[in-house]
Amino acid sequence: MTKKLLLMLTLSILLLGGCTLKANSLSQDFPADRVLNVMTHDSFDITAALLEKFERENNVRVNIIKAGDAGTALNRLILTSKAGAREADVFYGIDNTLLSRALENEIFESYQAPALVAIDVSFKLDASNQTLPINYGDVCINYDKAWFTDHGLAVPSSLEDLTQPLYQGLLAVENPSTSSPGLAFMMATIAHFGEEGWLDYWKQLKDNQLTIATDWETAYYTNFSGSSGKGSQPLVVSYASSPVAEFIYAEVELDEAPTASIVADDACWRQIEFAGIVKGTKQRELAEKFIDFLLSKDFQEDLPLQIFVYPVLPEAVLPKAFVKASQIPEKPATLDLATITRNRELWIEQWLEIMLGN
Amino acid sequence: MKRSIWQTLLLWALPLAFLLVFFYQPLVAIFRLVFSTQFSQGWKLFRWSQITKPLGFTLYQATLSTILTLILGLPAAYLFARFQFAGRKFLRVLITIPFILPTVVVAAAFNTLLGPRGWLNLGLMSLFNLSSPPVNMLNSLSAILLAHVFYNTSIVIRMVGSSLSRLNQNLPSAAQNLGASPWRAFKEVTLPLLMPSILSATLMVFLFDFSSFGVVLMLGGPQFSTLEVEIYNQAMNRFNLPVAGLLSIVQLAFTLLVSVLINRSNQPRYGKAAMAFESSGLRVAKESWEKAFVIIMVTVLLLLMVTPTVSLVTRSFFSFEAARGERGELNTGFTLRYYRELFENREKSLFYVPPILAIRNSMIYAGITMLLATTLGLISVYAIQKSGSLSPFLEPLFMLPLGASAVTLGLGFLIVFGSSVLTQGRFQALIPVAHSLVALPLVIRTLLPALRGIPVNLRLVATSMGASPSRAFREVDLPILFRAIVVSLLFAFTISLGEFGASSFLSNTAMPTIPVAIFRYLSQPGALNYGQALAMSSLLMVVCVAGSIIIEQIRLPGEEVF
Amino acid sequence: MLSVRDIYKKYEGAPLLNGLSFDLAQGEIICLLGSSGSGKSTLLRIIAGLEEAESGAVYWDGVDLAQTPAHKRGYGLMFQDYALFPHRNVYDNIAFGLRMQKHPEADIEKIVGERLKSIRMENFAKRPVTELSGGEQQRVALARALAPDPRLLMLDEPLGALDQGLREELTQELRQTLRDSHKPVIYVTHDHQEAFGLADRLLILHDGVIVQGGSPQELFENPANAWVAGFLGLGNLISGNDLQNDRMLSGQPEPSNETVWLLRPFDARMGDSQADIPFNFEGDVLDCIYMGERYRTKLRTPQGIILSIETPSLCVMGEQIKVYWQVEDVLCLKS
Repeated sequence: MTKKLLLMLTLSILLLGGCTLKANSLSQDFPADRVLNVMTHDSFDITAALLEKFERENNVRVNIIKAGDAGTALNRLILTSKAGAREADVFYGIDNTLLSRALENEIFESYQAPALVAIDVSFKLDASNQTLPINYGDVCINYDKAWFTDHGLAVPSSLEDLTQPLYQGLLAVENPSTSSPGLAFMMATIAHFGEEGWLDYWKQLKDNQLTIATDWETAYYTNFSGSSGKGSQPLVVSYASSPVAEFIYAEVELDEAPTASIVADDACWRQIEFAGIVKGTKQRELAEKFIDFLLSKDFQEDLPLQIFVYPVLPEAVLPKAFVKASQIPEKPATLDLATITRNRELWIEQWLEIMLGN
Repeated sequence: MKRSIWQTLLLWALPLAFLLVFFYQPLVAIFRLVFSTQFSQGWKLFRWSQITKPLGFTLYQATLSTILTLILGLPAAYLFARFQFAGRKFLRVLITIPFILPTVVVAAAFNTLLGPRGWLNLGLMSLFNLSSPPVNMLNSLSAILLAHVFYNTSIVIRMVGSSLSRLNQNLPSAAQNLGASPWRAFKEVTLPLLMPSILSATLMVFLFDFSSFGVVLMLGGPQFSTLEVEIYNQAMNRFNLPVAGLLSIVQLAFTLLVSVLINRSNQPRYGKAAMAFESSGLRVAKESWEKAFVIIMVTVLLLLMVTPTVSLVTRSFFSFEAARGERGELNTGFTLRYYRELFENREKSLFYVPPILAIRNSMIYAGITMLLATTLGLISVYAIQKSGSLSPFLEPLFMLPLGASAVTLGLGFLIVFGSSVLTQGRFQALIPVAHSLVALPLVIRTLLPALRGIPVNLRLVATSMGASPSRAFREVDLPILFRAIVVSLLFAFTISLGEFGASSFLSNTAMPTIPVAIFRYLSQPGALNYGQALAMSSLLMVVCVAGSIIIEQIRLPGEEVF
Repeated sequence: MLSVRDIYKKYEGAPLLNGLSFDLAQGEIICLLGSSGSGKSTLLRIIAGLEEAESGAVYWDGVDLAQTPAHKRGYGLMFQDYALFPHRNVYDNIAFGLRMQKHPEADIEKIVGERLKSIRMENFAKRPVTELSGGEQQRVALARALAPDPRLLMLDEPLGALDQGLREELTQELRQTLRDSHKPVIYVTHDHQEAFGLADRLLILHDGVIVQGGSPQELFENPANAWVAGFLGLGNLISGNDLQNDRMLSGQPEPSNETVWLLRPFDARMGDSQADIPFNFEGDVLDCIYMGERYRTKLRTPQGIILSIETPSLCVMGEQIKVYWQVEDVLCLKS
């Protein structure tokens, strides 16, 4: 008796797994013959209607694959591509700090998109056009306005200020080996203090008890006091556009953003994000269409409030809230791509050695 | 005679081929990776500390965790083996739950207890009117240690407790009679006789702590990485495959060493000489020190072993903050929303599919895994049995996957099978295979004693009465093996449901398994993602607990599994 | 020397030892006889201090031992399962008690050597005890109990785990060893043959009390009641109601349900009694076994009573024979 009962139980578990939960088709209400796989990072978002329009026009189902942090997503793509697997036809979200890793591994096919003509030359870092610039944004230190007011403390105005005892234990940063804003901020310090001085600067930050998080989500939503997580650090490495998100998504309507960025010269790093057609795709034509879509005015104008970045297309109009709450640093830190390519891994190793004792 | 040799070979062929292709080949690939030129840029910046630091930390935390686990587990084993108290049976069931929980669920449970949005911080914040969480327990070594103790104490209680309750009570009595004080009798007789089981429990706990992945990844933060986490980091974040490969080899060598030691310590040393025919009776605590001991132990066990799971389930039904972008709709209090959300496909969601699909995926993988692992296991145990005197040499071949870490397996799969015709680039097809490899040693351990328990005569009688070999299998073997097969199926099923290491490499990002989805949700901002992670964890916990309760019900004669 | 007074002990709610008392003199060997489950082992454990009685006391030379823990009593106890330490070899098992007494290692070596010699196991010192045969284990256990020179030796069914042949051989050896030790001994067994062969005095344990104590001869000749007679296997126990005629015997109580007659097999006489007594029986031979010199024959009377008698010659199965007991040979017992 019990035996039969058990058998039935086991079978029913199987049935439950196999049958009752039929796969819901993704958001589409219309049949599509083709599927386009787009791999991107977790921060990606798009207005559903916009994506649906693209799908309808091209009779395609776009499968958005979020594969973790920008760096993790890219590595996954390289790893699977090298192994011969094709998880994606288009990849969106390589930033300039990791661009060389993508190019070295030759995982993209070059595509001369018509829209490139209009884009500012400063964004076109890849002359081979294997990867195309889509958006940019600045990684800056954000601060919690209320915290500094409450504590009667002046907001630090430069990178150097952060090493002062006044700001001890107030800063949260991301590990550059696991987080792309973390890597971007590290680049800013290298650009500012030079290859000789930047490690000393980090040593001073360490002595000043900074907090290191694995990823941006943790740093921003767990450590940062200005986010919904209400953490304990009023300073965090994030984006210049993060205050916009705080402004828009605040639980009660606000007159101004509760947070802001320190946009001193050299204190921010300009991140440019690229997209590319994955080598060996069987959907080359569709992939090209999708890249064009990414560079279209519709998508470029959708970007700011979805991913909180700036469009590269000059004709795209910025939303009002964005203009109101976002700051653009006048002089972001820069390093040339060749230097980054040559030294990135070494710098990360040096950083890990100093900061985490690896 | 010749025919039977062929039969044996045939039996061996399938499981061996499976292991060669899916276990040994990825291992070799990892070896080759370390020396390959394709990724040789990884060596340029190689420093020995890349290996020694994670290894050192792994050994350090595993040793510390093991010691702490023993400190709690040994008295707890004594408590359950000797004392009768109200709610004893119930508590015993409760404390076995942690062991069967998937690592991500453990991490989620600790998050709900100690995390910034956990009960402890919520309580303190409302109590002292604080605006930010006062206790920061996550991302610390103590969180890792606590979770490891939570996870593994039941191993000590089970393994040591069962030897203690079966220990012949006349032995310490004889020592006392010969002039040894109770403490001396414990030290000279009880302890040495328990030593083999303490030793194998220690090694087992050490092995689990050593290869810990999910717990360290989710509770440890950037300062702490074990070998397993570092393999994942080097491969997925740093894209430094040679170093990841080298770490895998180090990891494999250590786990193999510990596994071999476990096998050795499992050999019964004193045989039945130290065992009583029946387990010794329980007594009610009488003296004041006994009463104090029982009360303290029960309290500590409840606090450590039960509160995390209770807090996970309760927290999944309460909301305290609004979801992102929901202005003014702040409903604090009881809610079923997180469970309802699992069925919805939200525009801003992480996966662009209803989260419940993760449950469907996991169920499918688990279903395939349980059939695959049990079928392979059945063939393997017949092969082992048929090979007679060779079986001591062949058995370890099947047990070896126990020593390989899931992350190593995932990495190896990624390298080997990407381009294979078999998978056509769909890694998720490999998930049940990886899960089967993880489950196979346990399945074999479950089936082998049951098969060995079937009297050979029985089969001979059946055959002599005219039953064909297949008929004899159906009429004789199957009914006797039935319970063991059901247990194996369930084992494989629950292992697959909870597996995280290999799945984190292999699962298609758009088609996550439950543990992968929980991991991703937990790392995302917002009350909704958090709530969904907890709701999923609670569901997964319920399934695993149900599975293990059924396994307990059909407890098999013979060896304790694990 | 040893006085055990009014020991009460419950087991699973029911009284196991129910106010039990006895004394033991210097150098005396007593056998505690009782059926299995009668609480013999528990009594030994209470005397050894390994278990506590609910009430009652154990005295040694008039001193109450309630405050003396087991390890300070100096009583040797040999367990029924021998309880040899499986993680120690033969030598270390025997030396255990001596080491607890902190003897110098040289003395220990000498004493253990003597013990090993006395059990003829000199070459076994380094052997693991798990590799010993049943008889060897028994001897090692005895040597271990004796080595620390206990002031009292208690043996719990020391031959119980051995097969018949070995038991007989070892009974002799054991008797010698116990006599030579000049120690007071409590020997627990359920086998009265073994007890008769060893003891100065027998104590019969039944229903939680000592129902009778005395020398083997006393017990044999005058069992206190029917249960004792039955337990010792003294002969046929015939209920008063079952007798052929209920004529009263002078000086004997009236036959009733309360009384039982003990008719010993070897007192049975063949033929028909001329006297007018109730102990005349007639029955079919069920069985006849040669016992050496005499035969043990089983009869069944028409009333269904089974009688065991000794006959000088072989009886044929199914044969009808008559037997009787003389009045002076029978014993009337309380049931």
